[in-house]
Amino acid sequence: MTEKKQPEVLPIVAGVDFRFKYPAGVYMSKCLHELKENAKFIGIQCPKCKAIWWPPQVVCSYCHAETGTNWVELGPRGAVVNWVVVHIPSIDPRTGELKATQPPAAVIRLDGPEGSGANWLHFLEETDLEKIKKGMRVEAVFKPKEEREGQASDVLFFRTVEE
Amino acid sequence: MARFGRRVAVVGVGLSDCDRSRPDVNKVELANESIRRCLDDAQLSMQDIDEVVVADIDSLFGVGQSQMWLTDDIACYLKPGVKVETGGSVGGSACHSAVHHVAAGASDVVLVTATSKGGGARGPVERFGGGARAQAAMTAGFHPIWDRWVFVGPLMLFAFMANDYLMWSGCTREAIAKCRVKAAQNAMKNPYAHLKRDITVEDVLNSPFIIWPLRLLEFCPMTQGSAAMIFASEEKAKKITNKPVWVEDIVTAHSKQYWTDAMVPVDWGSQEAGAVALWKRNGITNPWKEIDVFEMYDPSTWAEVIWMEWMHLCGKGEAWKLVDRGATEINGEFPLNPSGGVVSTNPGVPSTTMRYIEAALQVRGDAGEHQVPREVRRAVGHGFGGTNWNTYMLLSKDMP
Repeated sequence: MTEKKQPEVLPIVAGVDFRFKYPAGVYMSKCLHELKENAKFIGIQCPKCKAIWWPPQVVCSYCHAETGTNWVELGPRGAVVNWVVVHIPSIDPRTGELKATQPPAAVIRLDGPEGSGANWLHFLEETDLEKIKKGMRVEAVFKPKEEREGQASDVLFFRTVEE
Repeated sequence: MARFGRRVAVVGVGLSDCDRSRPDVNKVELANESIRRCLDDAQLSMQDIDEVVVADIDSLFGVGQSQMWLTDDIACYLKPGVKVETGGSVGGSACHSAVHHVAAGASDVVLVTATSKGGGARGPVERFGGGARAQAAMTAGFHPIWDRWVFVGPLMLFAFMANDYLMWSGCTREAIAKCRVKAAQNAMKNPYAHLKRDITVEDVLNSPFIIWPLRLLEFCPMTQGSAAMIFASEEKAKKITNKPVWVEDIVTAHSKQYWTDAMVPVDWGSQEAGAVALWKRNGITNPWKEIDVFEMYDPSTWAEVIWMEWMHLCGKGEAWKLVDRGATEINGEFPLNPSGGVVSTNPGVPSTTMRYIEAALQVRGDAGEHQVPREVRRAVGHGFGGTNWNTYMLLSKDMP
């Protein structure tokens, strides 16, 4: 009555290190250039339905019109509209490195012209959950110009401001 | 009347055993497990299959073009086949593709196969059950310049969703915990569910935050498993089975390039657009009363509750109250996720197929211990995936 032992199913460890260049494209390149050189947020407004796209993009996702050259300046201030706190280690998918902790992540509504705005996901400087409130005013804190690379990470975090 | 060309019916369903890991089998062997069960269910052989639709999400599993090494062994050798890839909803999109092909008259009997063998965790994150690695793999699907910077996979999205709902709805954490316990109770009745733990409201409330305010037990596990379905034309279906489940309608709605937009004011427009289209064009004015079972793709308990509102199953701010009084229990007025849902079993690739299978089993009356205690004439299966790709299938006992 001995059970016939099945041979072990062998796992195979495989790893492939892919590195590639991703073209940012015409619209995002302009936006990243502005971040790097002038510490400015440049979005684009749809000429047809007036939606503001941040990052800027060639077509409006809503009405599919070509966005053209209707550039609008956003931020550097905005309001916190939603926030979360990561409690687990996470892997940075850009580098494969482990991030043990990260500051609170927030959706910030960057100020736009005439009461408009655009949402951006970034980090808050404030780590005390008791102090983070909906509508809280914040301002982007940039890396020094010589350290900026034309990436979203050129902004270190958003700092709480009194208005 | 058939909505798309010829009438189409579900004539067979099959599920593999599901677990955190299935190291006993490779991917083809796991796919084979659900396919053989599906063929047995339909009492068909591989030779009876005209076409195969393969669902997969290669980027999550470190492979490419999985169809190349799957198809020969899954009934597709020298037959028509196509592979579909739409994120978490792919197991549904593949079914829709099968329905289209049968309805158009291109094929009579089509097999859909969806298998997940992913998540082999190694290195410093092993003690988190591969969660960090899986989240990173899913984050890698987001925009390389823009969305990977802060994001921690879908976990972060559902944490934002929870925080938003807590801010405006008056929802209690106890209501969410009750909903999670409901899922666990249903999963314990389902032999194909992964997490079958007799948890309490206190267990949920005391589980650690993974991303505040989202708790560990409010989110789905990583599962390995497989699902298969067979769709057939009216003529074939009537010969194959005396319990065909008719496809009354299918709907897909998709939205949002950048996920930030989905986080505030937490806009679930594609869940809503898909559901509204489904209700409207099938003359359903009150889905809460007219749908007998609803099987939703619920990666988090928060999603199950909040999407009830966006799918017009109830009013805004009402869902948590309904859940709190047990209205969505298996014997409640609106049985929601009698299988235990995605929050109990989430292999990703087949997760939407599993929702459709549960809906079909409920219509057939073959769900066993988790069969809802009422007559089921109409059931809906829902699928969800990045970015906000939603699929719906309306199944009916009555021929449309």
